[in-house]
Amino acid sequence: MKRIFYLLALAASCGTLFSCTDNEALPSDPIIGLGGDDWVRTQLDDYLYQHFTMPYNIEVKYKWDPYEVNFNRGLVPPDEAKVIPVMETVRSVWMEPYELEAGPDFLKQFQILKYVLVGSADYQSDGTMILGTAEGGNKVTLFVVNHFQQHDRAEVIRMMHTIHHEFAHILHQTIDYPQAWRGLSTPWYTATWYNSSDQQANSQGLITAYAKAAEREDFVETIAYLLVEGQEAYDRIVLANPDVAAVFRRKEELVVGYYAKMGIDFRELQARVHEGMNRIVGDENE
Amino acid sequence: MIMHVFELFPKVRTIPVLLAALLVGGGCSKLNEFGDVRPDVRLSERIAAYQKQLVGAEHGWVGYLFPEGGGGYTFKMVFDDRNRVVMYADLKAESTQTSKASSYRLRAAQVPTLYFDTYTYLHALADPDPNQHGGVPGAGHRSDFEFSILEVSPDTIHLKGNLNGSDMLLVRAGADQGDDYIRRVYAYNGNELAKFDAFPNYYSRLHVNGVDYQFALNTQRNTISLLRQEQGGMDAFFTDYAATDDGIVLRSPFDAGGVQVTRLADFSIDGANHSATLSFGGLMASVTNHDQPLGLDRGAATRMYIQPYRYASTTAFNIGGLTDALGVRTFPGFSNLYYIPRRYVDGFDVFYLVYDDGRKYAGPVLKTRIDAHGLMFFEQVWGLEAPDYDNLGDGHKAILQAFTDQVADEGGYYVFQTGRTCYDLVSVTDPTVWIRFN
Repeated sequence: MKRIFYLLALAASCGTLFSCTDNEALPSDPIIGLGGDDWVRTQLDDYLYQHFTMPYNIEVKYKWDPYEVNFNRGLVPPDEAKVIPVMETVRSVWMEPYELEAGPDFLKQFQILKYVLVGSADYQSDGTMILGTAEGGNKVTLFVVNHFQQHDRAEVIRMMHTIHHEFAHILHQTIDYPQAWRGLSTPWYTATWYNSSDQQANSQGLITAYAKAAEREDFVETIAYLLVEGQEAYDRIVLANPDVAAVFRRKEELVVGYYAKMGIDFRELQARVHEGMNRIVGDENE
Repeated sequence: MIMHVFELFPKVRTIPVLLAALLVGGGCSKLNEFGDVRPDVRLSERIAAYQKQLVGAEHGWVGYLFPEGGGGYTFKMVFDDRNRVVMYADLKAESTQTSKASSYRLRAAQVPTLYFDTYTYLHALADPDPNQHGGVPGAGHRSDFEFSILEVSPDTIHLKGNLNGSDMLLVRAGADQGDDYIRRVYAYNGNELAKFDAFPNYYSRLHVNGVDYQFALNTQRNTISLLRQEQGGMDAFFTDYAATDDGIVLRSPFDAGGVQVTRLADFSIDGANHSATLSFGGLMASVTNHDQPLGLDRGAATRMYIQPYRYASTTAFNIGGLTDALGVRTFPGFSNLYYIPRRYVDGFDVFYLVYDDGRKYAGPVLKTRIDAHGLMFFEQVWGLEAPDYDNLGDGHKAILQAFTDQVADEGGYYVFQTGRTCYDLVSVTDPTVWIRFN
């Protein structure tokens, strides 16, 4: 019996020592798809490369890639005709104001590295729709691109609110929002924020219904509202809700202070965003 | 019994000999089925070959798309070698006349996959916004725009959607299938095949291979149904179809007495005599109009009622071959007539006539009863639900009343399923009165 084990061990070692020696060189042809996708470039690709990729290292992904989004949902890719209007608006209403106020390198430091454009909204099972998301402090997904109308102020406000909202997330993911924010509206934060109307949220000291979703959402919604909808719209809401006026003003003060710490005059930034928006919707006088 | 190893091999010396033999014999044999070509190389070759085939079709391709949500649509596509595809589609009049260019790519997913990766007509069916081309909010018609390439022959490519599993068949286009092809397809389906709807009675029978089938062609949703009287009930068949310029292509083949039929063509519809002839997968077939059903699909009414779905009709009641005989489409900005089972928790169902481009609605609230024979009755009319009733003109109030009276017809309705979510309701007392829900 013992001998059999010896023999087996011997056989195994023989097998190991003298089995297939493979002297083939490693294959040199590239793995397909490694290094990104490849397609014949069009004028649209050139435009995006020239205005976003070259100067800022921003990738604008408009062609469908299921793995950039929630791939089990019914989504559609953007219409090519909408890509330039959307990105032009992004440049005028988000990038240029920050560059002018915070210096040309600010956007290179706090950066959205990748824009993913999606044609439709992301429908949720609770009846809400996602219009934009930010991930990992560097990627923004913009939905409903196919409905975008550059000269429709309400539409530009909707889209740019999303971008300023997401960018504010990127800022506070790098430099946290002030401690003083905690406690201001804490009793009102809820996962079922969508059961409140904007008016109800306003009367509780929150600028939109979505601001009720969480503290950080409250912070970035306040920033986005002050920048995109504008100071006048903000003041109107404060006036209409005198009971919580102090909460609104305290939040505004904290936002201005947060930007001041980064060396940005928030009031000037608001003015720049307003100018950019007027230029885009073709309404210089407003 | 356990046999001892020494009994099997009387001399232990045999074992080293045996092992040596094994080592020599079973040593370095290498599987070499693919001639030492690595998977990536083969994959690139496949993809290049598919691309060449798509681009190489002189007149482009005709695509028949069957979304998972039902129905069938016909496309004309021309691919070039710069990742561009130009497309026509029979979705609506505009998409048959104006071409749309977009981008496509062949990608190495789990299976080589054709991506239509920027928006074009094809995506309208997958668009989760129902305002684009109907369907369900969040899913549209459960269609696809990423397709795995399953099977390829020189003139056909079979594809399957990666997300929803829609079927698409690409067929190499002929010289006569140019830019106007989709316009001809659209006209054939909308004008020629829709002539069946103008027959006076609902019941049409198709005679082929010595068998009679009750036959219905739903040209709004592109479905076909064939019912056959069998012992103990009806054998119901329905499937989606896509239109061609002289007939239709079926999604699933129909078994006509051993002959697998996928194509119906050369319809010759005689409106005056209420009859038709056609080629039924190569077999000659004829259609005649009758005032009696061939049989009943007893389960159809229940299936319709329990499915959580809003049934929509764009044509309302057809009476004696006249579409929308009661004139509900004269409501300004009419969009759809809905039947919503179990609209209210206390068991009330509704018919809503939606007008003013979807902003207003009006219709009866009632209860649905299904009897043992599968007949459907709408009764216990509770009243009209019409928030803007006072602003309706007298004419429209009268139409609403006539519609309510017809729905609540005491005779009840036979129900026939014509598609996954498509049902035809035919008056029991009058075979010329019917309504099509999709």
